[in-house]
Amino acid sequence: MPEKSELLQGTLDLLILQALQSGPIHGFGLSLRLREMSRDVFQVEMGSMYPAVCRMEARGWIRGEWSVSEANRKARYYSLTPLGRRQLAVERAKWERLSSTINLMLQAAS
Amino acid sequence: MNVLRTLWFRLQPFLRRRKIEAELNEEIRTHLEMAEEAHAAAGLSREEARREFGGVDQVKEAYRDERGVPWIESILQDVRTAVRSLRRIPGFVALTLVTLALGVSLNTTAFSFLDALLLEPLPFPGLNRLVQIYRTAPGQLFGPNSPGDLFELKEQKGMFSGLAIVDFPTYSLAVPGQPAERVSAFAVSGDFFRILGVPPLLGRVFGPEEDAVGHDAVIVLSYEYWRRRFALDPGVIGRTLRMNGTPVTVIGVMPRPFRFTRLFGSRDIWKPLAMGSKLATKRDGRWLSAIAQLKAGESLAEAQAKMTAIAARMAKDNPKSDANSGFYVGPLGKEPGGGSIMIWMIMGLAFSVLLIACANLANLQLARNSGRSREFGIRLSLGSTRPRLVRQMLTESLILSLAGAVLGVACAWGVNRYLEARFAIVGEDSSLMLPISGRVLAFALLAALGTGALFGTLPAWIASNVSPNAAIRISGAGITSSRSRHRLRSVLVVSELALTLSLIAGAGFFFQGIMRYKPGAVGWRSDHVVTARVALPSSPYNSADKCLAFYDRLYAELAATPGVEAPIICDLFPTGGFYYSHPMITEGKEAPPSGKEPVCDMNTVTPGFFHALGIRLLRGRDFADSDRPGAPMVAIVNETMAKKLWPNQDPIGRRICAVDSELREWLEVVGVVSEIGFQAEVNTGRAMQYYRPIRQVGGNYFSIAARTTLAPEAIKNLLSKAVFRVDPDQAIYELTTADQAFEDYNRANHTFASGLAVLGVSGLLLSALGLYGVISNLVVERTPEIGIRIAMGASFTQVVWAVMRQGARLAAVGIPIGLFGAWGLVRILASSFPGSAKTNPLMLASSTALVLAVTFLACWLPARRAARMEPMTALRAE
Repeated sequence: MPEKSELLQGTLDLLILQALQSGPIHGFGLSLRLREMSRDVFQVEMGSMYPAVCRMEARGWIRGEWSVSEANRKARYYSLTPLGRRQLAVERAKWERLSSTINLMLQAAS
Repeated sequence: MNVLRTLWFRLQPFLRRRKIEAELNEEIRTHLEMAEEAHAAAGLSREEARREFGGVDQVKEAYRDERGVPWIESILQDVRTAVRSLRRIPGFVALTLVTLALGVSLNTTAFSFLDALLLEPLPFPGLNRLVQIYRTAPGQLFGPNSPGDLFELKEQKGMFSGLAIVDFPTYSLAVPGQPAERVSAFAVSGDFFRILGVPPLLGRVFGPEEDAVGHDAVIVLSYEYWRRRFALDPGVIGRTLRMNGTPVTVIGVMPRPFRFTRLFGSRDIWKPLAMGSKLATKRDGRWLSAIAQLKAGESLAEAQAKMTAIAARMAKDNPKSDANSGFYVGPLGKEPGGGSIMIWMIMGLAFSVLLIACANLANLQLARNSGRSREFGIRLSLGSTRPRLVRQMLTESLILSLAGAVLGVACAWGVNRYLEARFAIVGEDSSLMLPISGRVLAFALLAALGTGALFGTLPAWIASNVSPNAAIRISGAGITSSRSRHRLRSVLVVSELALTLSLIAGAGFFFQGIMRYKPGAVGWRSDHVVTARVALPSSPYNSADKCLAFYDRLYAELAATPGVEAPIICDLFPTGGFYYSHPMITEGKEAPPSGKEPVCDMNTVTPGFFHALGIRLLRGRDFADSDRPGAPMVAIVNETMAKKLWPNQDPIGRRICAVDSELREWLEVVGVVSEIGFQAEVNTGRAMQYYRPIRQVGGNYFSIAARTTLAPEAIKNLLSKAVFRVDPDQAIYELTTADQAFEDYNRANHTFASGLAVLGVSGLLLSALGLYGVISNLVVERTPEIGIRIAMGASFTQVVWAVMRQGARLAAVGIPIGLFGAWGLVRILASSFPGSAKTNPLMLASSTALVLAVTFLACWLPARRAARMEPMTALRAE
């Protein structure tokens, strides 16, 4: 089992938005996709993911709709809204600025 | 936008609670199923899938937190709990609501008086620049102005940006071919409409060019008059009516809110104030009001300073009329001086009832919460916190307050409608309106919520002071820190008693004051008498001869009218008392120093006046038709005057003279009559009154009256027709029966007095109820102890005393405090209302006795119940 790491505060939204960019997906799928994306490094708690999804839906970044899955099962599918796409760009830029700054700081220190 | 969407999303759970919950369950179930299948496919156990998901309930809770608005949710939960627990105690709820409704409605009604009379701003744009100008003189604060002073002010450049003079005449107004009708008017100078800035509803208003003699034949109607007389017909604009016999043109109608009720009373029409140069320079008579518009940027103080300087100059220029006089400039619509103090006092009395209600409610709440100690203890031990319990009790109080506010406002609305009807006076259109305005509503809500917070907070805090262990172990009452609860209850009852005593003394003070002025006929008969007013306009009735001819013809017409016995024409019909009073000197005696002459009341009457009203002629003769101008001037004096002026002498043939009359006419006394009075309580038989024949005095304004057996409606037509036959341009007005006139005065007084009585009685009842509740509760708490005492052989009296001692202790503190408060209050009131008794020991004593009696009763009932207890039942209650 790979070591599980805590997610950095505030990055969950970015990751969910990123995960939804490749198309609508239901809650279970989303949890799988998040794990894949982190190569099994991150363990996303369901107690964090569902509230985050809920919060983002309230802000209008994503939309949840009941639909039927490939396995003919009713599930709630989440997709990015135009607003969510814009937000993804914003969050990405924020993250890149943050990480490059931190990198710079680490290099300067060494 | 974003915030709104988020809020909407978060509010959904309240609207669609079940659906959202179901969807969440469904979503989690699907997730788990998919996870289990995936695990199964990978050869892992289903339990592993569930373990990986984490606690389902925790996920749900976290989701709900994100989804809902937590504080709204918990408030809603509090409300639900509160409603549930209130439903279980209908008696408590009913008592609370009745108390609240009583307190709130009394205060709301008192406040709507305050609002209507003092707070409601006048409907004029630019009101903050409008002022009213009063003349001040020794003995007359805030009096009216003389034409000479005002016209001089008007000419003064740079004083104000506008000055309007207002007079209050009445006219006979007739649609051509129809009988005339009496109308009340504002005669206003040309600036009036400009500075008030209210446009007419129809047509136009007049300006300065029309306030000159000869150009003033125009009138503007008030909305009320337009409605009453012309049924809102717009065609009235441009019509020609006859006013005092001359044609005038209607040029406009003012809108409805343009009411002057609070300023000058409501009147029918506006007319230009056209004053001839002789009248306009007159300074030795003050009867005009003045409204001015301050110059832009000028303050009230600056205007006052300028006016003070002008007053000083006027006093120098016209020493005879204007010496010692000043000007007072006050904001328009704000009554100067202490005229509003009465209303604030009533508000204060009403407020003390609310405070008593508060104390009662707090007591009720305490009693109820002490019974809930066990519940609180259990809840605390189950993990609830003290603030949480307090919050829930506060929620209950607030729910009750809101319900009480609704009930209270509803009651106040009804009471206000009733009061409006009671205060209406014949001949005046809706003089007092008491609407539930926004301000009144806000006040009621504030009063109710304030009460709720007051009676909810303290008891809630005390009740929640429970040790969970104790609560569970011991049953029944006495678990909470009963000492602090008892102390609070004692404080509450003591303040209730003190407040009630002050309240009753205050209400009693006003009540007495009002009841002293109980209008009624004393020494004369007012039954079956109908009276009305006539006002002959100065054109064409510009001489005594013309008025005299009118009297003679009218008197003959009245005498010939079937159903009319004993017609009267007199200056003022006695329901209104005497209008004139003069300092008098007598012939053949040294005149007292100026200003020390005896002052006598005077009326002018026709022959037959005394007989018609049952006034006894004691000596000499009645007036006769021959007492006319040219014949010797005569007078009839009353008994008191005869005795005072000529003690032990025959007054017949003696002569008297009014010092202040211009002509210094000597009047020969031809008769002596009995005294008449108008106020049942006040008249003590010492008023000096005399009468003169109306034909020797004249006057354009007078009353007509007749003793009749006909119904008032029938006699009204007969009197109108009699006047119409003499002069079709003249009208009678203010037609009423003498008894009705007294009743009108009395009704307003009675309503006011009963209002005060209601305030006092409500306070008394509430505090009696409070005391009763507290003592009863003590009895309940002491039941086992009392049971033992009775079992040990305590007598009835001993038990009664044991209980009543507790009430007596409270009364012993509360009543002296209340007495002190009452004494202070009455002194303050007496100083605000000159002429009233400074202290009134009898009233204070009877108020105290009343409160004591009620206190006694409130303690006696529970004490008797305690003493009659079966000892076994009492002991078993343990």
